[in-house]
Parts: sequence; structure tokens; C-alpha cells
Amino acid sequence: MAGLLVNRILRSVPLVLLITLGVYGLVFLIPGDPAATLAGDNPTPEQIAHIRQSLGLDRPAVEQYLGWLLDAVRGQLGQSLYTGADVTGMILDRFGVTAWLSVLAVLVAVVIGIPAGVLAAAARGSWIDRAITVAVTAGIAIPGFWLGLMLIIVFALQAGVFPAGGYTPISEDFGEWLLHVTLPAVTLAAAPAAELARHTRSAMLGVLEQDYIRSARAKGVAEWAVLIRHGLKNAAGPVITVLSFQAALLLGGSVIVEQIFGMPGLGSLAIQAVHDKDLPVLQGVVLVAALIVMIINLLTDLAYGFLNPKVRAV
Amino acid sequence: MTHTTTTSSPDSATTCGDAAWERLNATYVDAAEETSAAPPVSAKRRFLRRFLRSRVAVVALLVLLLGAAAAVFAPALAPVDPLAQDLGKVLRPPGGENLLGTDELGRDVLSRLLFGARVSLLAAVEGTAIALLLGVLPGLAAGYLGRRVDRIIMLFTDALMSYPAIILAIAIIGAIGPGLTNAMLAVGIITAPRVVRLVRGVVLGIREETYIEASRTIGTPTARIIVRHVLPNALAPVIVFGSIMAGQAMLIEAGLSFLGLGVQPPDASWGSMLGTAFRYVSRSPTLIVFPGLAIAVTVLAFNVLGDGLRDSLGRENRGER
Repeated sequence: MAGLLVNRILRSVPLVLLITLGVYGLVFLIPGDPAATLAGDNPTPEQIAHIRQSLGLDRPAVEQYLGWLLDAVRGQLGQSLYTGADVTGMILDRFGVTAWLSVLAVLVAVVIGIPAGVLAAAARGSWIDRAITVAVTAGIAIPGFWLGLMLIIVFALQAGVFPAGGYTPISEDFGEWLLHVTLPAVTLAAAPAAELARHTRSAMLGVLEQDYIRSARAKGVAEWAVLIRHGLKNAAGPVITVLSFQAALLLGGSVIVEQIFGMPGLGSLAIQAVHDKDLPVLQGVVLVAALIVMIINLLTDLAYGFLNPKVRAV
Repeated sequence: MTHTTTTSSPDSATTCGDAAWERLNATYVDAAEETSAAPPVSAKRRFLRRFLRSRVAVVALLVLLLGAAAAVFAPALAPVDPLAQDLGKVLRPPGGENLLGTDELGRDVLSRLLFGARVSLLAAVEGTAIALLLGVLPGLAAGYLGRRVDRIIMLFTDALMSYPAIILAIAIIGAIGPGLTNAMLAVGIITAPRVVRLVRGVVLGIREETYIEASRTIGTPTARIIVRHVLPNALAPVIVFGSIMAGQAMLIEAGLSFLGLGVQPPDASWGSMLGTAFRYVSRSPTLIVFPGLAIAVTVLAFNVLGDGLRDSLGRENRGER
């Protein structure tokens, strides 16, 4: 297992370098003179010069990137062009909101999606199967933000059960926190739950045709044990792949969900940064998001190793 | 039975993708075999016959054609000018002279929805077209040339796919500025790596075909083999599955416009209509319903059409349904 971990980490070094290059390269996408563009409307020459100097745009490109990378490795992502605040601090402040939201959404998706998929496969062709398939189709096509708005209308504005927006940190008041994150988490979980259900169903259908399932049934193993211990465990590989895809997608989806529910997370920070032309903040958020995706992929690889001894030997 | 679309090999996990990509991945090899194995005419006819047999896919195609027609003929179909404001009747509920109600400036929602179809559908198609433009060539090179070329291209693809799609799109727009064209460019860039991987997968299947080997044996230049033999056989599944990509592109454009980063006022796409409706959600909840429905139905149609086309092309599902 340790060998697998080291192997995977070493393999991701070039990828990480390329990712950081892409994040830094955003500055070269800015049309015209980046410093002048970032300085906003009617900037004074001093403002432009200040931005040029603080982003290091007056140095050669390679030197700029290496300087930025070294700072990033030390955890320094620069200063906001808009407020002058430390970008790393800004991201850390917001990180908890997005992290809780995503973790909760993954939980909801797993708790709904996997049992639904198992159920649909076990009852293949029945009305249950068909109902789940319809729900899955809808869950994939409905835009997440629209679902969020509908949930606000029904559960916040009309029923008044949940607040329509805002956020209370979990450390302050658990009950309030739960109330505030429920609707966003459900909104965010809808699409991944649907994908999980779909893939669990198809993976289970494949597994349930195997001889060992017939043997298990023949020797009198209880049906739930056949489904879970013999079925789901062997169907877990593809399901975990989908789960890791979905977890990465969730991070993107949370941008919009945070905006709808007025949650102060990384996504709303990124959008604010676009409006403020605050490049360092934007770069910081993109970098953190990409690194999280990489870590999720790494964990997925380890999960394979855990599930499948053949992978461990690599 | 549809076969399992995901692989459980460890390598596949180091890269990330999305639902659409997985679906694309599902049958590329079958599709490639299919198109190359049979003479073109009968393959085309068999494809048509199978496609027409799947009723949902035909309905989806009709829905999309209807949407396209609504977009094209929006000026004739719209009851009033979508930009005409009437502050005397703002936020009217559906019914009466404004069939779907009015928005916060008293503009007719139905008319705006029809004109919004132009922006939304165009954005979906253009986003997909840009993705194909950017992705097909590297995909061909990676799949056919293999070795170092493949490794380098896939490294770039993996890096691009490590950024969560929406966040990368937002970052690109942050650099090049908001607006519909820039939003579609961003959609194209974030979708391109999925195209690369799709094309690469298709080409990997085609490369091993006997006719390619025959061509190589008689000394046909590589570039010519790629253009004359590989590309035509790879293109069919790519264009077909562009349908699913278009649905995804539409969702992303809607999200970006919802955030105010896509189409700019007074023009509207369905996404940006949702964005403004959101601000008046407590006063006029119905404003949110129609653009959202329009997006959901269209994306569903793109997905169903894609699935239908895939089933008609692939070998897997022959005889079923």
C-alpha cells in the first residue's frame, strides 16, 4: 500500500507542475497590457506600475512563474489587488464552507444514489426500476441551480422550513448550520446521486449475472447478503470511479450553489474576484480547486488498491 | 443490457471526467468497428432504421428541431418585442395578454424565452464546435502516433481535466473578460480535453484494423493514412456524441450566464433570465419556472438523442428494445 502511494505521488509531479503553469498562465490570457487591464477604469500610471511590480510582470516570464511557484509552495499566494489582503488567508477563511458543503453533498449522494442503484438492479424491470430510472434521467438533465431555486421557493419561501440563504459556521451553532446547509447540499447532491444510481445499477446488473451469485443463492445466503456482500462489493470498482468523478464535479457545482444560497465559500470568492479583476485571488482559488481534485484522484487510486489486491502489486 | 461504462483499471482513475465523457467512452470501439466493417450505404441505412425504431430518441430529435425552429423564427413567433419595457406591468403572473407573464421591467417572458433560445442553442452548438476544433487534432495525433506524442498530449489533457470545469471557465473569463463569445470560448476550452480523450480512444481501436495495416504496408504516408482512413472512421462517433456534449455545453453556458459572466444585458439566454429572475424570487416565483424548464427539456433532449444515436451505432444493443 505504501509503495502504491509513493508511486502515485511521484507520478503526479509533472501533472502538478503543469497545473501550476496553467494557473499562472492565466495572466498571459489577459488581453493587452495585463497591468493596465487589471488596474480597472481610468487608472493612474502609478496604479499600473504598482500592479506591474506587485505581480512581477516587469520580470521575464520564466522568472515570474518560478517566483510565483516558490511562493505558492511556501503557502504564499500573494495579495489581493482589490483589498490588499493575503490571498492564502482569504482562501482559508472560505475553505470550510465549501468543504462542508461538498462533503455533505457527497454523503447525501452516496446515501441516496447507491441504495437506489442496488434496488433498481435487484428489482430489474419492475416499476421500482422504472421509477428510479425516470428520477435518474431527470436528475441528470435538471440544471443544479434551477433545482436550488425551486427548493428555495418551496421549502424556504412557502413552507418556511429552511432559511433561503446565508451561512452559520458549524462551530457557532450546529442546529443553525444544519438548517443552512441542507438545501444547498441537496441541490448539489442531485446530479451525483443520479449518476451514482445509474452506474451502481449497471455495475450490479453485470455482477448479479455471475456464477458466484448463483452459487451464493443456491447455498441459501440471505438475499440482502447476496446483494451487499457478494454483489455490491464486487460492483464497487466502477462505482468508486464514478464517485470520484462526481466529487470533482461537485467542487465546480458548488460555485453556483454558493451563489444561490449566499454562502461565503470559495466559489463566491472566485466570482467576486472576476468582478473585481482580482487575478491573484482567482489564481489561488483555481490552484486550490485543482489540487483538491488531484488529491481526490489519489485517494481513488488508493481505494482501488484496498479493494483489489492485484492493483496493490503494481 | 447496457454494459458497464467505466473501467476499473488504476490508470483511469488518475484522470477525471464526467458523465457525458463516460457515456461517450462506452461504445467508441464498437462504433468504429461498425462504421468500418460494412459498406457505407448499408451502414447508413441500418443506422437510420435502428434510430427510427427508438421512439424516445426520435421525440428528442423533434424537440430539438422544434427548439431550433423557435429560435430561427423567434421574430415572427414572439408576440411582442422581447426588449420592449412596460413599467406599468412589471412581474405579472402568467395568463392574460402575456401568456407567461412579465419580468421585472415589464418585458414579455414568452418573447424573451423565444429569443433566448437563439442565444442558448447557439451557445451550446458553438461551445461544442470550439471543443471539437481544439480537440480532434490532438486526439488523432495521440491515438495514432502513440508513444511520446501520446504521453505529452495526455499529460496536458489530464492537467486541463484536473481543474473543476466551472471553476476553470470562471478563471478564463476572469482573464479575458465576461461576455457570450468569451463564455463560449471558455466552454470550448474546458470541453476540449474530453474530445481529445474520446478521439484518442476511437483511434486506438481503428489503428489496429487490418485496412490500416494494409495501408501502412504499401507505404502510404502517415499523414495520408490519418486523413483518408482514420479521420473518416473516427468522425462518426465524435459527431454523434457531440450531441451529449452540446447538452453539457448548454448547462455550463446557462450556469455562467446565471452568474452574470456570460451573455450581457439587454440580450438574454435562458441562463441569464434565471439569473435576473432569481433576484425577484420572492415577488414572482413563476419567473424562474419557464427558463429552467426550457433548459432542462433541451438538455434532456440532447442527452436522450445522444444515447439513441449511440445505441443505433453501437453493436452492443442490436436486437434489444
